[in-house]
Amino acid sequence: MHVKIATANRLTDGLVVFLSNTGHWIGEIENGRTASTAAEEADLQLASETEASSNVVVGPYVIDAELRDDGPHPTRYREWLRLNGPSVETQIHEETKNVSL
Amino acid sequence: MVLLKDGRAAADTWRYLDDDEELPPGPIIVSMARWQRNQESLSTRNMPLGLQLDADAEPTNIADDLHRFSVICLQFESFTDGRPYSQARLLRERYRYRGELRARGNILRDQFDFMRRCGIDALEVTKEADALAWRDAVAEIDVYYQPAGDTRPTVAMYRRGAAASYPV
Amino acid sequence: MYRYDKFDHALVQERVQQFRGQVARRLTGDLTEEEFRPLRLMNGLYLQLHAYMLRVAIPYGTLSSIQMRRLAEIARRYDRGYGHFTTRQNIQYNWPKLEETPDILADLAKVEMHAIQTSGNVIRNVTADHFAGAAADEIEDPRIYAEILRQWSTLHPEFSFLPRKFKIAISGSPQDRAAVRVHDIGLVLKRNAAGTVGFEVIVGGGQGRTPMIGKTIRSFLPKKDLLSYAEAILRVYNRFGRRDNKYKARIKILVHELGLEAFTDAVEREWHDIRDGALRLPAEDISRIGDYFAPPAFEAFEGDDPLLAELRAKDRAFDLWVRRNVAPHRAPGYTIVNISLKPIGGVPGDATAAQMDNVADIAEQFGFGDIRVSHTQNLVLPHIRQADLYEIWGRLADAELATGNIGLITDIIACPGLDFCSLANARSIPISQRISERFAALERQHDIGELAVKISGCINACGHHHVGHIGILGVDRKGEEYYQITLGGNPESNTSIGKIIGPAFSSTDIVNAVKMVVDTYLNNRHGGERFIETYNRLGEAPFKEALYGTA
Repeated sequence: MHVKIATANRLTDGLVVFLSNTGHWIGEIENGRTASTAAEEADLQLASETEASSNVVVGPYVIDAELRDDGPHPTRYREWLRLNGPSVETQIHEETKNVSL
Repeated sequence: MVLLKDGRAAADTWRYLDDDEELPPGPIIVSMARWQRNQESLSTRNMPLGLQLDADAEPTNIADDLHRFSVICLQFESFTDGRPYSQARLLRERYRYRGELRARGNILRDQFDFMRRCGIDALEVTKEADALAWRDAVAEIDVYYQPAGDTRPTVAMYRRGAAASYPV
Repeated sequence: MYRYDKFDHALVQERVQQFRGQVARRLTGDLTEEEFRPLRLMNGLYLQLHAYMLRVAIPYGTLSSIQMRRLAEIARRYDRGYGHFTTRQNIQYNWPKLEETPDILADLAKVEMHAIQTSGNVIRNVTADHFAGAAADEIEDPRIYAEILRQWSTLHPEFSFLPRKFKIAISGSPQDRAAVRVHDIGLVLKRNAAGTVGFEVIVGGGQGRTPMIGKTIRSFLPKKDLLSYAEAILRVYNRFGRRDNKYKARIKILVHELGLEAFTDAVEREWHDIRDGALRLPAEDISRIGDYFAPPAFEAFEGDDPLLAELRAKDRAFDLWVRRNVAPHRAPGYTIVNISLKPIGGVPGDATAAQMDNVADIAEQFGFGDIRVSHTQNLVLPHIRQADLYEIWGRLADAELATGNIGLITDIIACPGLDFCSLANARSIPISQRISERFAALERQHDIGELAVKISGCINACGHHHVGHIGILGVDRKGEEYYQITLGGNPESNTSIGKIIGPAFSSTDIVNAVKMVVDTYLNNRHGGERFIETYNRLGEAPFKEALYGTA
């Protein structure tokens, strides 16, 4: 089933987030608020652009997704990349973060 | 809107005149188009006159008439349009304009020091908080690498010993 | 290299404080995103697909061991343990948090670094020849003038809101290693008939949507006029550059639309009024900066190191590495060492924090602590004794930094592409990795010889594909990633823009297509012709035939 989901980047750390049913911006797309009709999509658009949201996220927009058993799957490859991270291996180091400079 | 003159809140005695409005008494600011149309009557009016320049106006066109204007307003319609900064410098440095040079538009505190350095000495500030923060805003950066219209010493001058010691 | 005095220190520290205030105002909502965006761009902070991206300036690609170690530390502390070196000699971090960025900038300021004006519609990092100060054919060190321009352009009150970004590059040698003809302003140091050193001034080059080769607007500019002339060019651009269309806003469009003569005339008229003013550069100002770039205390050698030839004969792997990665130096007994950041199958231009530390250590021990970043996304140790080469090669190999492929087909330039960048249409890194793996065999690479492959994930051309011998441009075709090949681009002195060879290839077919291009070259080359020479001799026909089966 085709649905729409609102996504953005979180203001504080830039990470990808989705608008949930409770109006919060969360990291997991599975709990994202979905819209399946034009009216719902319009509501979703509005809900993503509230005054409150403008201080929590940057650049909200609505994406296409396929609703499957395990949750929504973004249709566009670009959005799949946003959800899952770069397709290339990035270095992740375990080194401690509290290094004094 | 708060009018700042040299950083201090001031009463605004000027009135912007629409192009098709009749000339009222008192100090008025007209557009370039109005000035070009009504030069005769505006010059002989014997009241303070100001000019509003659009961002694409050519300062050369009014170079010879600058002495007629007590105030010239530059339009900073969009934060990203940098043309008025060049207009300001040309008016001050090339054409030696000595009257009030005012910025109007959506001006943020983050532009104050750039404007001041380009020779702008009056600001129509939209956000009151920004107006109150003028002193702090222009003091944020006090190291200037390049000469501009404000005659403040540059780093090069200090290094040459051509300016008195740096006030740090 | 340049060292900050109290003024430079004060500026970066003040800037950090200013940005800290701006971030605070954004986080409380005092500034909207629309208001904050240009401000954060002026401090090098982009928002990309997955996160923010911070672009730290490495002025004219020069940094010290101390600075490199700080970059490593920032990667570890604030990011995911690595950084990416760019085609404009800067470094990018892909995962910083907005709220931590003021701290990152504060840490950078302590080692005389910053992220000022690395993005936004301002004058960007002035790039220069990465062999500056070491190249045998150098007329004068271009970094002296890059530093002078850097200071002049920093927080310039008139030019902080240009129609679009502005990029300047300087070459100090007849051989252009800085790609000056594809920059908004390109400067070439030269001698006039009287033997005086000055600049050729080239304006209006650039890549992106409308690639253009820059035109010379002044064949000789005396040094003292450098800043006043630059100011004249920027003023003309600031006043008359297009602001109605983002894709037509670079100075190259203005030069094109006005015509070279009218543009030059506008600049010269503007310059006429300001040339004898405060921007005139006294000789003492130039020499004050110039002193920072005085050559290090080289040991006096008679000539080449006697042992080097022996070692090369004995160790085939070492020999192959020297052949590609080591370049001649102006001082006898010295060399320039190129460190490839293009390991087979790796991400071009990436370096881990550990690798950065290794480079810093090697530079400190062997190379006067002097490190460069090339615009081909590699690193350079500019002043290395030949006698130390073998040991350094071993140390680099231990750090996985000894890939001997400089200038070869696997020394690929690739932008971050759709994996990171929100502007991209397609991914570029996986294509780069697959090409790299396909041509991995070193002997084969040597046989193919010099071949510059450059990949961009979109028309903005950050991968400089227009000037690749083989350029690859990622496009979106009905939601699928497709790749268009251009041939015959050249970034060097005889700069040329590559020509699109035909319809784009799917992701599945692109690597094979590249192989066919290479095979065509191998089958048709005369003598020791490089790829670009064969292409220039034969034109596109045989390549087109091979790829598409049509003449």
